[in-house]
Amino acid sequence: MLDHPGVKSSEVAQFFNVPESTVTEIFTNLTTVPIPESTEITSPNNYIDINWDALDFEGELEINSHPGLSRVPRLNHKEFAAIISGLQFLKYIASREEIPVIDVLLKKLKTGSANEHSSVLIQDAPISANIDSIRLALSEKKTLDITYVGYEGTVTSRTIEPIELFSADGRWYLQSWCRLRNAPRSFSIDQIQSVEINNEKFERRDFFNTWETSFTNTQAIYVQLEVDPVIIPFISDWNFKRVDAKVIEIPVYHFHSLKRLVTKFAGKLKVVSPPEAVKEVTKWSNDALNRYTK
Amino acid sequence: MPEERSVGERLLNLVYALAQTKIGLTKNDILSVVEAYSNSKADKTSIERMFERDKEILRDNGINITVFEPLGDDGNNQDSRYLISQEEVTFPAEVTFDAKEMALLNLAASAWNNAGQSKMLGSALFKLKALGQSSEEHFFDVRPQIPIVDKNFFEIESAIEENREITFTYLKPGASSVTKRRLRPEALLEFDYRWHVFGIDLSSEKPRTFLLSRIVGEVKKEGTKFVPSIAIKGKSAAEFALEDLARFADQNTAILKVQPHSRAVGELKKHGLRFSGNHDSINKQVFDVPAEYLDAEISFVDSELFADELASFGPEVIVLEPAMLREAVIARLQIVNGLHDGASDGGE
Repeated sequence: MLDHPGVKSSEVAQFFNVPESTVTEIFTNLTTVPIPESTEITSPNNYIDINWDALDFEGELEINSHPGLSRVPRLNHKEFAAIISGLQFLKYIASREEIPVIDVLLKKLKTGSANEHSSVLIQDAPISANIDSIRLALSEKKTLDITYVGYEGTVTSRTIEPIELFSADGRWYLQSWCRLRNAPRSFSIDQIQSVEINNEKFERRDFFNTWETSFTNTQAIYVQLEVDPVIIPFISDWNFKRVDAKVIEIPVYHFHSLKRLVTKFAGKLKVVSPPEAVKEVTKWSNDALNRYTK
Repeated sequence: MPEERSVGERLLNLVYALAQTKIGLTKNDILSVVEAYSNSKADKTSIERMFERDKEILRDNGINITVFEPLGDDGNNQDSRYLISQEEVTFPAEVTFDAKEMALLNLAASAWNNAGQSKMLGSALFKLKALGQSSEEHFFDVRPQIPIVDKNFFEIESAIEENREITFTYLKPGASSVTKRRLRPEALLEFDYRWHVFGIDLSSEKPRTFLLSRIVGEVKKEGTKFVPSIAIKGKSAAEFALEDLARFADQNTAILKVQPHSRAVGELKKHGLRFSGNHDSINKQVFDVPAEYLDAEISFVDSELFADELASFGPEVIVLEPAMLREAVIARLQIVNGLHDGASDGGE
């Protein structure tokens, strides 16, 4: 209200998402809060002064004189930490034009945070080279030709209709309609090798129902593993089920992710079934070990 | 809601009192000039407690109260003077946000929506919106979500802010069992896409950095308060810790052979993988590396953590140097192989 004198009470109500009556009630109540008397105070009266006429006739909020803060309070520690880490998170998918805007924002927020020395800091990350084309294709609804690295290192070229960039588990994905598979697909940004933007515009398909079914239709393989309890907290996003005290069961959509999980937590996970899963993991570690011996 | 209104009025009243004093008010001054305190029928101890709580609430809203301790203070805070400095607690007048900036700020805030922080972010956005133009720009095609693994982020953040010690259970990379840790947290930093907490580890009394992702369960804020160490060489604790990690990474370079067009390349690129040099002299005699594999280098901080990562790529990545990292990766692969292929003894 101080920064926008004469703002309509209806706008303020909308801004704070409260009824207009609440705004006017709080606003008029301001005049009943006494200004503390101390030897230093030289204000003409002991109450805040508002423009009653503007309020009554125009529904406008205007403060004539006040002894309080004259500008918006700074962000507290927590707010600052959340906003700057959110901005930093966006940097990975920011376009060439947005990156300098984010840098300026980070600077502005720093001067406007409650602490001069921030206790939250983020290292600059390398920016993905393909982002500009992807963002442009998204906003202009143009198709993209991409080459994509699949799980077994199979590189495919496909034309996609990009729908949305989303993040899950700290990774960014491009949700799209894939013309090669004629189905919805999510592409990990990290695994898109190259992109070429086409001049062809596409009509956005209404495929969100298909999306759900296409996902649930993918047959999961249920893999049972013996687990060292110490790593249980680190695999919580795997939707595991306990079979007994030692064994858990996880749904696996592709053996690649299973192989990586088991080798990442070497010795803490042992695949017990099905046999083809055991074989895949054995082969993975064998192939790797063979590279180290001539 | 007369109760709620009286809290709001009391706080407003307190802000009035503290914002217009130039030399600060003593606690006794405050308790006598702010009506809600002076008119209260409660005893002095509870009124003082109410004042302490009110200070916390104001601070949570970004309004820091400055305290001046009189010279030769003998620990008696009756003479301390409190005030709110307009310059320090409000956004500098030159800070405003245009529509494009507002849109990005909104998007950044939305990344936390799923982390149960909407109320806190609401208040942050109110403040920022008051300084900005209302944004007509929206990003319909970008949906960020801060990883849930950082659920302890805000607990640690508030412990840093309150200078309170924290305790947590930690699984050190490469370790086979967890340890209990007690830390004076000083900074949160993201390095190589991982959140770290930096502080003084109380078992060793030394500065240490921990990965948030390796904390098991919840971080607990303890009652014990501490005095944060003063900035080192003019740098904040966070700057110091981040530079320390970067320096460490600069000193640790792994020399790799990577399978072209593999998932490993895409993932490691994000972590700074660079294709460089010719490492044939290193590997030709010793290792069985397919000819198409590419020479690459990458910096790393923690060899145990990095060995976990590299081992998971299986045959897609071969570590040439340093030997310690290579041995760590081989050891992991052997463990996995032994567990799954024990009967055939690793043979084909």
